Amino acid sequence: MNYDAIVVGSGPAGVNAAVPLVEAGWNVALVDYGNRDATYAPLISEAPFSRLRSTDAAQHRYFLGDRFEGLPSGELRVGAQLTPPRQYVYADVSRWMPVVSETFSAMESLAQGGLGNAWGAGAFCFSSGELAEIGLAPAVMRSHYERVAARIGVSGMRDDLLPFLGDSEWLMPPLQLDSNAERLLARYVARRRKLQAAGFYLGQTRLALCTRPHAGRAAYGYQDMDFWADPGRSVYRPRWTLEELAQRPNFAYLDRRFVLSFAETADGQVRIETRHADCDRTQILQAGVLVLGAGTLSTTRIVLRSLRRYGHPVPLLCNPYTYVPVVNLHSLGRAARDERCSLAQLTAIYAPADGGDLVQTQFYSYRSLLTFKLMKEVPLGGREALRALRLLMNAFGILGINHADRPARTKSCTLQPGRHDRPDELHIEYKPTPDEECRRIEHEKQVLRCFRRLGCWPVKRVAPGEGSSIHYAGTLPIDLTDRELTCDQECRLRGTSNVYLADGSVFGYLPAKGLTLSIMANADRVGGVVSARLASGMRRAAA
Amino acid sequence: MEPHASLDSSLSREAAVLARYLIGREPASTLTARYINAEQTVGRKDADRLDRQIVDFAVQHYWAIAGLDTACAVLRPQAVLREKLLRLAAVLEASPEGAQDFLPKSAGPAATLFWLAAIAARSAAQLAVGAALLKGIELRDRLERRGQ
Repeated sequence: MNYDAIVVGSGPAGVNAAVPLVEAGWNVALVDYGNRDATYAPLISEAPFSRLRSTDAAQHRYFLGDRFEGLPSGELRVGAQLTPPRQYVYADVSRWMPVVSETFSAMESLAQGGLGNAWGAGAFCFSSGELAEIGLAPAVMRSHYERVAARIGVSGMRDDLLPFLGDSEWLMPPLQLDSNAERLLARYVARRRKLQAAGFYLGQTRLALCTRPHAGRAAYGYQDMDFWADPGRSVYRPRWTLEELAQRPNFAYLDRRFVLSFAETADGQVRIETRHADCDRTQILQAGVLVLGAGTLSTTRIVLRSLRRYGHPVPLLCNPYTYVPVVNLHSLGRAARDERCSLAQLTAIYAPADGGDLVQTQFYSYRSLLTFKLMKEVPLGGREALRALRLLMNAFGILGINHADRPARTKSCTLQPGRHDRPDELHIEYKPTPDEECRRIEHEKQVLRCFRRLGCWPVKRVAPGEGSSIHYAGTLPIDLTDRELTCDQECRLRGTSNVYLADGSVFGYLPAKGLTLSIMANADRVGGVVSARLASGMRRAAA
Repeated sequence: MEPHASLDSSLSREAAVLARYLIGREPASTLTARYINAEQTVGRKDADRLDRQIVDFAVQHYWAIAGLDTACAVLRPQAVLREKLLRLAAVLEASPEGAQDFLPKSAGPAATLFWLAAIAARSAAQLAVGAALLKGIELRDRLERRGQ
């Protein structure tokens, strides 16, 4: 069958690129591998964490996993934080998309909804300066941020972070903070002036989460089960958009297909070679336009394979990430409300005095990931560790610190042909420059100093390794020059006529803010560009 | 007795002793069975001799568990004894019977500080006893190896 457009991938990029095309009436197919979780989701009833803990005899199945895959294995690795009900997100990846690296751990997804299933739902707009550095027009992007916010539902507060995160007419009321975060924010408000003078701003996290009913999704219910399930579908997952798209007669969801490559034909069509997930059968699909939104690393593989650029290094970006367990002394020994959210409660922005890149920190309170996972981190015997953790838990928090990233010679990936019928391998070399390392350490010191002034004491600093933020970008960036393996401002891949990129691969600069909302906004823009392009082609043909 | 039955019975005894240490009581039979399943599914199969001796000594001498566990936490964080305790804690925590023993407690700021200080003092004493015990087990292991 011939489609007007084929979109590859059902994650945040793919579905949001498909929406404008489908809305414009084009005949669209979304090609996807489409793994789903059939095991754990049906087991988890919609009830608060505390009630499930005291009543559900089957809780061990989803908390620990049927094969005990929820038990920590010892070493730090990307994806280790995923709970058993979320681990299907990276199922089958090593078979189809091998990555070779000694310095970088990558996480990719072949799930329906992609990495968006495990997304922390942080929804941050890039500033005009950040967008301009990427090569995106701020005024244009604003309207797409608004469209996406209206689609997915974003909640947040117009607070001290407003200058950094921008405003939105679609902003829903903020979440009610948990007790620990509430005390921390109150301390900040009392010391705001001094902290801001040090470049430190704190506010409520913008989350892709509905605090009132929206598009068939329920208002958030404060069940504290967000790492395990999607109660009420309040937290946005790309699957919700896919389900809406599937209702449209001009949309086809082609799952169980792994996209290998594309080729443009003389008559202006794009042929896409796919392999069936279950039987190795190859299928060729054809469309007027191809939109790749499979995720940065997957899209890079497809492009390099299709253009036969084996062995050719392309840049790679990934936000350096550190997490820091902290104890909020002002919550010590105090009771905590049972109704709460597991996702990030507060966001801190640190603006260095030298005008360098912003540093973004998320504050999470800890409870629903269970106490036993912390026991092994405490240098005490098990019984005393358990006693201490129960006393400290209401005051315990995790800071996740993200830093900006820019291209460097020491950060690249290369596609190498697979040997002995094995899939092609993506070789990644990633090492921050010494200057970046120094700045990272210095900025983290400053951030932690500010948190200490709020009574939040770091227990230790954990660097889980490069790649751990799972914010990959910049492999095929927007570039105004005519270099190969880059995109033009419309995100059309150079050297092709009808191939567009809609995911993080086009971002040649990565601000410290999570990039998912910006990927979705840009994907929405790319979908619009492609739709306009198809329309002008129709007009030309008619003339 | 068949080999797997004997393994089950030793793991079952292990679960009882370790749970008594962790939460002050023995686990229900369903949780014991789950612990045995966890040990057989993800337990370390390549534990070295010294690790096995530490576990055996702890299970046979209940009074020694706290000391050995604390000493391992500081001196031998990857010890099999710690892994087993962690797996048992997971099994206990993920059950309605055990959940209450793992949920946060609010005792008030002053009482919390008092209890944390008590934990620190107890842990220091346990470390002293446990380090000596650990040394003893290491020494016995070395002598046995030499004897072989």
